Amino acid sequence: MNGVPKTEQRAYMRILPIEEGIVIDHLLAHTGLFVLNLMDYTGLTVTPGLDYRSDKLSDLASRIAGRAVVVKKDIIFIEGGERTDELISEDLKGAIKIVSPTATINYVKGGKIVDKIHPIPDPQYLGGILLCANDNCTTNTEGGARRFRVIEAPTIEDVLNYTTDFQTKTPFKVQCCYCEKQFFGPMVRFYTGQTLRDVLEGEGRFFRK
Amino acid sequence: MYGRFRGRHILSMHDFDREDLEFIIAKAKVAAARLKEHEHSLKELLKWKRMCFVFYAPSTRTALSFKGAADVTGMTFDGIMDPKTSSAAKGEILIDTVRNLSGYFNDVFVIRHDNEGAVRRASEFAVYPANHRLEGQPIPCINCGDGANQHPTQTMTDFTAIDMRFGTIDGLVYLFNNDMKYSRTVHSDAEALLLFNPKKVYFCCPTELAPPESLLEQYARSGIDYKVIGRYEDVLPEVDVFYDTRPQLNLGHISDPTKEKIRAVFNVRAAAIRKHAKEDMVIMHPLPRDFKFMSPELEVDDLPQAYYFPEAHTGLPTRVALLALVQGVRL
Repeated sequence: MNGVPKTEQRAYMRILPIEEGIVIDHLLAHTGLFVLNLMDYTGLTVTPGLDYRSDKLSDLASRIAGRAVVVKKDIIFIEGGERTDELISEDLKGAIKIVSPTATINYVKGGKIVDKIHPIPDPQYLGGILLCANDNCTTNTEGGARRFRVIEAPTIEDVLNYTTDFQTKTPFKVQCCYCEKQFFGPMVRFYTGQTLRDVLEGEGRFFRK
Repeated sequence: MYGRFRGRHILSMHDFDREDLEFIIAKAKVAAARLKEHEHSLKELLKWKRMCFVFYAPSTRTALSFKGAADVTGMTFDGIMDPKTSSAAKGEILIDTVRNLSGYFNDVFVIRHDNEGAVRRASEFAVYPANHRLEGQPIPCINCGDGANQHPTQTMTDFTAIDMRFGTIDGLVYLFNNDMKYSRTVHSDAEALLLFNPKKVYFCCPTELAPPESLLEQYARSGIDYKVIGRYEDVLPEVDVFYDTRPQLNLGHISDPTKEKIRAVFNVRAAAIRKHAKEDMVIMHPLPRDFKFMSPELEVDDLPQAYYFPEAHTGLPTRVALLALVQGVRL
């Protein structure tokens, strides 16, 4: 806001600009707070923007649905400062891709976008972000690190398809690297206890009703 | 090929390719031949090496064939055969046990545990200690059964036994019988068969004990001719390897009606074998057979097709080969 007289500035702006940090954009609505919960942002300034109408995602979803669909998105601004580079681990990047294949990760320096990750590559492995559904797996009985091979990750088409049934046909399949059991659909749980369906549909889907 | 095995963990059949398995089988056959020449012919093979066994679940054949293999190759060995007599009884977790035992100059761990994935987890912590010349290098861990997951050395034993009888693994008709759901040997063997070219594979089981979906998906993708069936008599005339299993009551719940059905339909009966099976078919079984089910029934022991005791005996040379290979010792 440099150069703009104080009297002409608005009392509240929609979002404060960031100097050095990360902007996670095009997160499907309702996934923003979930992603934020997976991050360690202690001591940082974070601005989550929820339920914005997204023209880009609406166009894409309309093409897939064959009719006009309005899609909402979340956007997260994090003033990361010196911690910017360590904010998004490979595991978190994988989780963002799973819950929101549409997402873009922007790295900001000096107020400008210096790096953009889109599309986020499909994760080959996910770690502690998931829980093994096998009660007799060593990761549940004795604890310790968890690791999962991603066999099938949801695509943009999967999540933007209004008719995808996330309860029975979740296009998300993983194999625990320890007990070697494969899990899909509602059996795959994030360590927060939520399934992919819970994250995407828990409070109503990202499509405007 | 030797370089592939030195210091390698033996954890799951998923970690092996066909070439690996063929090499293990070849070396197991060499060990069997050498031991047949003279029971002390391999006494110097692994002299000065030390094996540590950690058995947190009951075992007869696996544990004692490993001890026997250590004995005939000149290894020293010690370990835990009963968790009640170790600090596990005080709540110690397996990785702490392995981290401690790694410091006692052990060269290989053989581990059985009730929890799936426990041996893979333990292998991540098995490294030579700071006061050893091999400081920081991994100590090979051999999975002797982790819950209902894998039992790779049983598979290697089974395949060696099949190869010793038929001279090949390829081109045969296999039938896995009984508990396809909880039997880790079926999971290991059936997955390993995907590396070969069996003529046909049957899974014969009650509906409640059907094979895991993931296994059937792998078969569907592989193009191998396979079928899930509900009784074995009809297909017996074409079967070469009849692999029976015990209902794994210790690893999972089986309903009473299914137990009854197993006794009535799936138990291996001498009359059915005499009537339908080929003379050169082999009946295999990872053993033990459970007296509550008694399959194969005792009468089957006297049939020419009974091959489960020679199969169990193959465990010794197979484990000799494995111990030598993971130590990087030529056989």
